[in-house]
Amino acid sequence: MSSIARPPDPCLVAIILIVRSRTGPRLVFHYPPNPLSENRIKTTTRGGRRVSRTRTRSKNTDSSSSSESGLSSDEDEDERESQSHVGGSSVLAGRRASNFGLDDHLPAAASPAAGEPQRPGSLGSGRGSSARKRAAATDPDPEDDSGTASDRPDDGPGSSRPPWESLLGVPGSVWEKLLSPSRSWHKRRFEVGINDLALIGWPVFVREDGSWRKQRRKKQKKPRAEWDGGELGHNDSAEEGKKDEQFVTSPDLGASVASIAESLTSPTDSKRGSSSARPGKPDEPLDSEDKDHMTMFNVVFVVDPPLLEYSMRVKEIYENIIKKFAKALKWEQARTDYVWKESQHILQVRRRARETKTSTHNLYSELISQSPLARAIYTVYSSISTSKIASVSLSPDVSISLQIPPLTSTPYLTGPMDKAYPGLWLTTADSATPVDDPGADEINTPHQVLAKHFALLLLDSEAAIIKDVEASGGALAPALTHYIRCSKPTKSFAQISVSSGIPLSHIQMLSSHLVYWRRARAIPPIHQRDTYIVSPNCDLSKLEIATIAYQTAFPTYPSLPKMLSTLSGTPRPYSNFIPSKDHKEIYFTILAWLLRGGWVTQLRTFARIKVSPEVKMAVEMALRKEEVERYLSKGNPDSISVDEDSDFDDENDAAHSSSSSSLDSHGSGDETPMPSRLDPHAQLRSSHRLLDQSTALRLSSFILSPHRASPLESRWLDEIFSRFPDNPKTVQGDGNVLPDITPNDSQALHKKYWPVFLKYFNGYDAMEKICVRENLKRKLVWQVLMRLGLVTGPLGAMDLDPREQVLVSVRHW
Amino acid sequence: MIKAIFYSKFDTIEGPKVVHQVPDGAIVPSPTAPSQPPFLTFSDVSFFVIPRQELCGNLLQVCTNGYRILGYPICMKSVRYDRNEFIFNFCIVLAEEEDFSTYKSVVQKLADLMHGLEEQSGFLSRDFSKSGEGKVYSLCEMLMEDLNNYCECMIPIDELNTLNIKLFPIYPSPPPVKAWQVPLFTLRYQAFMDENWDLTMQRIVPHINGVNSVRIISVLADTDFSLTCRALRHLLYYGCLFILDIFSFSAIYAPTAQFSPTIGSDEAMQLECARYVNLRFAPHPPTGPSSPLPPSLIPSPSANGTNDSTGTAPLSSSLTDPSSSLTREESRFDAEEIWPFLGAEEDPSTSPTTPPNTLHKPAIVDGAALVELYASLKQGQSVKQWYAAHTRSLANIDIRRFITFGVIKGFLYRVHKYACATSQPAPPPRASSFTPTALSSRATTGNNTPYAVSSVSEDAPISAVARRESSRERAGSVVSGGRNGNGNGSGGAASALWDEEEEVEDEVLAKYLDGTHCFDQVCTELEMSERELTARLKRYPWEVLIIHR
Repeated sequence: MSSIARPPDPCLVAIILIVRSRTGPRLVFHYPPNPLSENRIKTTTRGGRRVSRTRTRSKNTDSSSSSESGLSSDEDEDERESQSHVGGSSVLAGRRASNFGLDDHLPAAASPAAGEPQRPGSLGSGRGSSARKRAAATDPDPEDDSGTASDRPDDGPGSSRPPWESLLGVPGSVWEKLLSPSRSWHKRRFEVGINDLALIGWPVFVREDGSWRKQRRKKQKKPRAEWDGGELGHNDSAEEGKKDEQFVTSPDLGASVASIAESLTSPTDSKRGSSSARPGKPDEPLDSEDKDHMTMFNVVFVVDPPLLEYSMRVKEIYENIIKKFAKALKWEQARTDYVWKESQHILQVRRRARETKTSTHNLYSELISQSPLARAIYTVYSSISTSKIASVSLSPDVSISLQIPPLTSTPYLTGPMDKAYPGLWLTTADSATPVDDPGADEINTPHQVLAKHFALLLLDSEAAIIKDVEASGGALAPALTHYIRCSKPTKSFAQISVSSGIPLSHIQMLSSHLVYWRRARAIPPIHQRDTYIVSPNCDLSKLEIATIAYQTAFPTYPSLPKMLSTLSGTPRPYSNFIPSKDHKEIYFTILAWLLRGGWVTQLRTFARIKVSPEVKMAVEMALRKEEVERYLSKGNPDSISVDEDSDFDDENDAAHSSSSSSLDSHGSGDETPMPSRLDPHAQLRSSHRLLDQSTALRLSSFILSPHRASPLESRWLDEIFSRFPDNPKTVQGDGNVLPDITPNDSQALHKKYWPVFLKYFNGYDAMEKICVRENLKRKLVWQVLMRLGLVTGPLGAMDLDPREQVLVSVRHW
Repeated sequence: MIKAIFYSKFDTIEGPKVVHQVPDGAIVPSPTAPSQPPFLTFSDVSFFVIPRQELCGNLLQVCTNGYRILGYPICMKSVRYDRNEFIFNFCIVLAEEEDFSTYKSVVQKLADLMHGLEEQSGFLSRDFSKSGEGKVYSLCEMLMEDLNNYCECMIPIDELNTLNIKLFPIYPSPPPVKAWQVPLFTLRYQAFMDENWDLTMQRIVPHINGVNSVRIISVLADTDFSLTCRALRHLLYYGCLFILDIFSFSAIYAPTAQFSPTIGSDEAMQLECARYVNLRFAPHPPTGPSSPLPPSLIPSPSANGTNDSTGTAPLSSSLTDPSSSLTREESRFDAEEIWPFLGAEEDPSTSPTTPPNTLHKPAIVDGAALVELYASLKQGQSVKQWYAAHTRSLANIDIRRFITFGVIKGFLYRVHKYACATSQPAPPPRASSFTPTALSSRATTGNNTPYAVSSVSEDAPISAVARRESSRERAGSVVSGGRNGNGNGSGGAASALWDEEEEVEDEVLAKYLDGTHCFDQVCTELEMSERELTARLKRYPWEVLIIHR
């Protein structure tokens, strides 16, 4: 499923668990055993590792993709660096394509040989200049030497120091010191950087009284039940352990996660008193350290974010993973002394392994199979580093689901210069628009509660999802199953609610849950009259694989390339491609399939009202006339001309400040500045001002937000409305089209709906929304819109009156 | 903005110790600045400032109390030191949320310099001046002041050493440049180019004009292709270039979601657009508002048989310099005159968007009309078809610039075509079952413009005479086409002669037919025009589907 919703890049390199007790800090466990070289062990022999560790792909994985153009990006980088004085670090920025660039920072992470006085060229300008040199297998750089040194024990398990005692080329004792901070970091973000690696944790310290949480006695049910805290997707019962479908009491919404997490902390805290194990007082120590107590634990995530995305990536993983994982551990620690017991267990196994000279591989398999904590860390690492949902069970009682919520859609089509996420759903449908008035029943932040006019598109087959849901067996599983069965991508939540009898709020909550856990996506309901085009963001490199999958799903229908090719060309309503009524259902299924994979996107229509010079002039004349009359009635004829002029200016100013407020914001095109930018506008503005009166009147303009029109714009709108012919000469045909409406009604149709539709003519709200939201017949809506000048296809027989053609429409996703 | 700089060292008696700090009292309480509360607790971070030996020589950073400390600890070993080693660190303190990337190199450079100075003369270890005094302190002070105020510094330390630092912003690395992309300068390269520039760069820049594709540039400049790409990428990195697509009248453009926030509502952008596209501001004045098009525009790709491999229309070269028109129009620059005139009244059916010309001045294409023109671009409609439908409005508009403007501003995108071969045998020649919707191409009738004369719709792959040229000949024709702006008309006859030349092999073609190669790429790499490609695809033994994306 992660291939459908493009996940963020987690940049996860390793996870380290540090605990501190009376005897000092201890590096208990880290995973993977050999970070930054892990993915190579499988593919290359030991001897080859040095080579592969070198910086052939240093900094920028572009080079891998640039080969086709014959461009060696390493050299390119060198060149760039030699010109940019800042040097190497600048180039770190855009590295990585799809892999995790694990080797990118390896030398940087390795420590220099102790006592080596020379800076090991791990960063900055040293990088670029020596990049090519490093590409050679024999690398004189001290950092790599030290890296080798740290590998050596790995090669020869017989050496005195077991390989797992050091990490990233640095001995464990150094990490122990580095990653066990002072108490001032208690339950706060702990962030350390070494070269390009960031180490982030959320350390938890034991309280003064030796407990792990505040003693606030509010007796409630047994503590296990608390952990269904929605923000963690935390499953409280053993049976339903690993399913991320596990239902929770509050919708798992990305946006509200943090706040929920905060609010849940204290109630959770308050209940732990009832747990059997006394916090911080290990009841049954596993070995000789029985009098020892843990005073702190710190789960540190090592990430290597690209320099330019540093804060974003760090924040993402911190908020979504690190904090939640550490909180869960803290809770378990308080409840059953979990972390300390597990740590002692792990340390014991490690000690034994050192004595028996076990290989790293065997040690890790043993740890992961024996210790739930080690397994949990392993699960978090392997899932999160591949952008999946991590379903972690800390103990038979407690499990949680963690994920970094992926990006699901974007309104931006990337240019040749931008980082692209091909396959991502391209749409503006889930962006907030002006019509989404926060005061109204719609919630204007679509990710909080899914608006009722959306429909649910399942990202997997219905059967598969239902199977998962039922397997998870949570309290809400039946409701979920029922809802999934009722749900159709062609019906909005509101419609499903009516047809199935499930309350709308439940539907919204259930679908939010499915969306958050990557099982579904909220889309505007599929309709045969809507237009769909091949998404400009579709991932054609997946075409071959997708064609096969499509073939399996729809064996008797036109192939995927054929379908895409059919949807290419002049956009038409989807119904045009459906051969017959009998095919409707299957063609909707096909469309859903295409939407799911980001192959197609809906082409939507947006419109604005154009005010023609005639309208402006008419309003202007009316205004002048009113002025004159006002002054005449005041009996102050002397000042007419003067006042009229000044008043006139005011009007124009008003018009300008409202309709051309951006005239001065010259930087508005910043993201794509124009070539010739020697500011022609300074002088333009001055001349514009002089010519204001006549010019502004002679040019047509748009009303940007009709529902918040300025006084002058309102006058224009009134004028436009008044110009609609009362008895259009062309209505005759319309009566036939709408048999349920009498000809008289149809004549007045557009006049009747003008006030209703007006607010949608803002350029941001799709016309396709109108019929769903206003609960009107689609045909009627489009007929009115066409009268008003919307051109979406062949005009047909409708004869249009130019006075009504006030809309300028544009179609995009 | 640097909040503080401090110099710390390992004292054999006191342990980690802050020797100098700017501002005074920022890191540890200072008797000389009692009012300054420390930003942080030094003991919390001393392990990072003066770490274990193993971590020396690495860039270390730690966040505490809302600050981020960047340091580069150095450990020097020598018998002249107590305990035979000397550990020091110059740290920069920033606000935690501030972007620290540019300061990484500063810290490193400072560490390098100090390391060198210490090695040469014991600069640090012999500095026994009190906190807040002495050379090292004033160095820190100047460094912080200069970097915060000027983003650079040049601090002489002794007769041999100077600390030169400049803060550079860090940009994302640009993606590789493709042969079929078209670069356009964002600025006047003449203003900053000098003879010290890289030779390849010097040769290619005159050919960067928003029309020539990368491949054509390398041919015209006679430079190695990969070097050309590297030079262009370099310019891209510094934001000197845009990347456009190859403009041709058979290309398809459509609006993006950026439409409403940009051109749709921004009147300044509409003015900017009018200035950019209005033929009146072209260096060579048009022949007059009544002329449908100035002569410079006439060589159109569709009418041009010798059309180069990229499909690039060799429009008037004068139109390709974005900045040349800037200075000359100032005198007559006028808010009203900026808008292009409408063309002469023609058969009303060909100019559906014409607003009624009720005003006394010549009818103009105003901002709203420009927006309408842009809005009428859509999927499945080539520029040529679009032009045919809006001839009158576009009479005084440079089509290429009009499109380019939208692409640069991001509210238009190019709809690329991709070919995808299936395992089905090719349908009979006239069946043309693919691109079913595009097949219903509008008949471009009733137009006497050069664009419409030879109107074989590129979307309708019918009856195009295949023409193939060798690359050398084509390169030649490009040069002549670009320089002389001719080749119109004669090309058809000339190209017919080349029919005899070898055709692109099926196997060669096959690897482009997996749906991942756009027509621009295929045309550029196989050196054929789009029409040739379309015709060739019809003769491909398997069914070929065209996907517009």
